[in-house]
Amino acid sequence: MPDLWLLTSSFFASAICAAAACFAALPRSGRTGSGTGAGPQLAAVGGFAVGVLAGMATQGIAPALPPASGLDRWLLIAIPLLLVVDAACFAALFRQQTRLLRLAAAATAAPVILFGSVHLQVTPELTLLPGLTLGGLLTVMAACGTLAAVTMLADRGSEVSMVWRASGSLLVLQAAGMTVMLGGWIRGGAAALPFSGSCAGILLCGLTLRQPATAAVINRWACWSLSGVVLLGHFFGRLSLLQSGLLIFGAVLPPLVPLPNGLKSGRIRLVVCCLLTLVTLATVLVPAVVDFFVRMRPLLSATAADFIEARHAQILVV
Amino acid sequence: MLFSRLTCLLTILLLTVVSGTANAAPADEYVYDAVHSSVSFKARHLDISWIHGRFNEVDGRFSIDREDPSKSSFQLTIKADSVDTANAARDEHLRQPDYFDTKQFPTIEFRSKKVKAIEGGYEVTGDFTMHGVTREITIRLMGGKEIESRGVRRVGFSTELRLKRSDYKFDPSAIGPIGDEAIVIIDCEGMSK
Repeated sequence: MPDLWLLTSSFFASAICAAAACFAALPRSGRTGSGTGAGPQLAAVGGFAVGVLAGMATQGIAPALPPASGLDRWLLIAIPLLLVVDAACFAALFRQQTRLLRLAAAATAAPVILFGSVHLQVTPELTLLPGLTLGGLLTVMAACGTLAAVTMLADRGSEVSMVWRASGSLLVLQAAGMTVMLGGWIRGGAAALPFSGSCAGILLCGLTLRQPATAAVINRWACWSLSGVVLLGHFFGRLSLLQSGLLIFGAVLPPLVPLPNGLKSGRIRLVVCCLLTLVTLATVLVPAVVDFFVRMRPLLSATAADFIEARHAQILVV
Repeated sequence: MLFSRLTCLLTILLLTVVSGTANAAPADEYVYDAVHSSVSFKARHLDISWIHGRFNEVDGRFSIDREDPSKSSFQLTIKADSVDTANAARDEHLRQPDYFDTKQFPTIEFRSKKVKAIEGGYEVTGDFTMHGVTREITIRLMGGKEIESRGVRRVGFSTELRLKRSDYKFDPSAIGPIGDEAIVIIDCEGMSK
């Protein structure tokens, strides 16, 4: 059974550390709400990285070196690569094609996560390279396409404010982690918490300091984190294709759904967006919770609870 | 004169080669008989009893040189996905990355490196790979008796080894109520035509 206290501590540790690091890194002018340029966005990226590290340290998540599993590779290769590319784009190291760079960096996460796994060896009769088959190539391409699509949709303009969109993505990210955990992969689902905690911390920091630019950064990072957790949960855990699709696109599509002319006011759009997100989450979470209680719960309770009882009994006997 | 000497030398050489070939009996090759073999395991539950399980899909081959056992070799490949503990939900849980991570590490393998004859069997040292970690282990394969049944030569071996999950980088948080140490019991038959 997951340790709820540890998970909660990890979420709050990452939120507090991310907010503190973002505040410390903000240019002085930015703290009064008059910051311009890339400063606040860079501070948000830096704060996010610090928050994730703090959350992982709290949970005791230490990826293996060299990375052996999909989760290790995502944490050690894909996320640092995305952080560097995102920060470099904000720091205007690449003045042009920043969108393309972000798309490419986001899509790279798919082959990184799937490297060396059985998913690259589906349809072994059509082997292209050692360890890569035609089926595997198609799987990687589909995953890359999904990540690129999420990145594009997360940046697309909408009448719903970026703060609301980031909050929605954050909520879906939490739900994705929970669904992965309910499916039986506790560590994989728990890895979502440092990411959602960091997003929450920076979002609050940005709101407090009136830095709307940070919300766009956080929305993108929440979507990237969500895509990573969902890909891991689908390819290595028990997340079905339907659950994965609903979670990924449930975060990015609701603010972009076209509405009839009469319903286009900002408030109505926001209500529709919230409803769509909540319905999507319910569609994923309710069956996952039912499945957990029917199949997994008896199994887990027969280990963890009995263990505590047995220990207690031993102590009483002694 | 020269011709007769050359003929003599060639004859000696040929005889040496022929006699050498006749002395070096080839090692017997066997394939794992999945029908009459099993790879099972047990691990402590709450430190009071044992949970039993088995792997249903196993493949292997042995090469046994009875005259020079050091030339023998043993290979075993277990499909981690075939774990069976008589509880479908637990089996699915065991396949996930908190335990075997079967999508990343689909097989558990043993490849012998050194074989030594001991009383009643062989002492085999080799690389055991599980969960992406390879460690050198030594097992005592007891048996080795060969019989012929319905035109098929059969040989049988049994062994038991103790492994610590923590040695193979299993998630430490998943080691608790289920003990760190697992006992793997291998009873296998090899077939040779």
